Amino acid sequence: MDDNNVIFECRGLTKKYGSFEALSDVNLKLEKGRIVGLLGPNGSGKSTLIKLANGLLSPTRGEVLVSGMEIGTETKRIVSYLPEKTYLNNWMKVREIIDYFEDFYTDFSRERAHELLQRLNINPEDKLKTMSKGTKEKVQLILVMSRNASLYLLDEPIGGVDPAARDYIINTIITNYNPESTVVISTHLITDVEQILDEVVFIEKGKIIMQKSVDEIRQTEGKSVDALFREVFRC
Amino acid sequence: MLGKLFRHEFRANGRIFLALYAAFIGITLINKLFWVIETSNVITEIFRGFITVLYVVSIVAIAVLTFILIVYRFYNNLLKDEGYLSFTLPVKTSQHIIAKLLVSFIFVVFSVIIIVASLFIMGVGAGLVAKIAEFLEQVRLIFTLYSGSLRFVAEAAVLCIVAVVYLILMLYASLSVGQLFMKHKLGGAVLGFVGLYVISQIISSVLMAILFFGNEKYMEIARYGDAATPYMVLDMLNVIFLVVIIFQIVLSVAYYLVTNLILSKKLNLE
Repeated sequence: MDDNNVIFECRGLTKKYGSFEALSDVNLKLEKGRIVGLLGPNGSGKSTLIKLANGLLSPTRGEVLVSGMEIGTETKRIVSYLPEKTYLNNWMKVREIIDYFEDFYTDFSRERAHELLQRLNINPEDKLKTMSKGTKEKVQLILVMSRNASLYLLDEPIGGVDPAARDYIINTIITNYNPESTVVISTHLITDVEQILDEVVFIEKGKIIMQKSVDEIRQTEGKSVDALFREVFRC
Repeated sequence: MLGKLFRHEFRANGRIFLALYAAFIGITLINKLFWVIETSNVITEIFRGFITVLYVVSIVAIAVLTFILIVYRFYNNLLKDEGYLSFTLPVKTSQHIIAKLLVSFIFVVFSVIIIVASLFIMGVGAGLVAKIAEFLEQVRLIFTLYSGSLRFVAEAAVLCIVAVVYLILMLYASLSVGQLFMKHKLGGAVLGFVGLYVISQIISSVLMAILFFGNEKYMEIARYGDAATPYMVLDMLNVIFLVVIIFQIVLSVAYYLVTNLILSKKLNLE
């Protein structure tokens, strides 16, 4: 792996909550221009890893670097994060939250946001608090994908959404990201995302147990990622 | 970045405070109405009494709610779900704290202005203007008699400003400390506040003791008791003010540093 091409790196990353170790000595390198699936059962440490990359948690040991830099203002500028929960100010209208994103992120594209909103029939004048959970999640995804970031971290982007919306979201992700950027999709719904992934990272109980390109898996293992997942994480 | 944060913070707070102030002025006007109408029967007397009590309660409520809202805003926007957005903005933690501190301070000032305006509405037409003129005359007299008057007033003003900043930062520090307790964030915050309050009281008591019991001049004044002249007391107050101001500035800085440290290095959002 070419070190100049590494957009995301963890070195000996450990996160403990009291005596519980959510992440144990994680060593990971992700290259630019890849769509990576961060796959693992619930509670395996996927969200923890992503939150550490965003500076929402502090490591117990080790470090996490984005574009070679420690997590801080400069990394936040180039990382676009979609959390599992809704994090938008409920009292705002969609238009106002777009203004907000545009204000703080120089890589935000208002045109793209409006186009996506229109396609999903979401009225910018609507207040977030009047929307259903599914619609709010779509708004969040639109905001995140309307940024021209170097690293997208999507935590369960299709979890709470109906199958039709899922397809739309996945489509949005591939058609709207910059080929130079890396998209990390953390999920346990593999069949839906499998076709767009370049690479997968399997994580279990806070440890990375596999990192392979999807082509390699199909060639050497001869099975789909979903089948491999079921095999690896068999209960 | 700070300007942007400030603007958004102001808007977010403004919405809630505007509603609060509007309600308060509403109650003020209703109260005024009941005091202005001339009719005097049992029913109006009962209502008048009730509204007056409501009015007094609402003055206290504005003061208390101002600080509750300041706490709520910090907690909600930084330590709850919205924190996921706030802390992923390309903005330094210090900028978040300062923006919130400034806006909180401004709304405390607004609240004071609103209360004074409300009292003015109540007093106007009931001889308030005359009383104010009388009061200002007294003040002018004192100013000509006591040379330290201006300094006294200036110090009192600075003390008020510092005290508000001090209280806000103490609240922020308590919330940040509370954030360290994973499962009991609010409980931890209350504990933190009590702890910080107790510590600050102990330190200030010790300071006062050293300053006054060790000082002959002030012990003299204490011994004078009733015979002490106003000037001596005012001189002593000047020193007390200065000490309190410095004490609160030092602690304010400490609280700011604690808040900044915890939120940038020890953040653990759920």
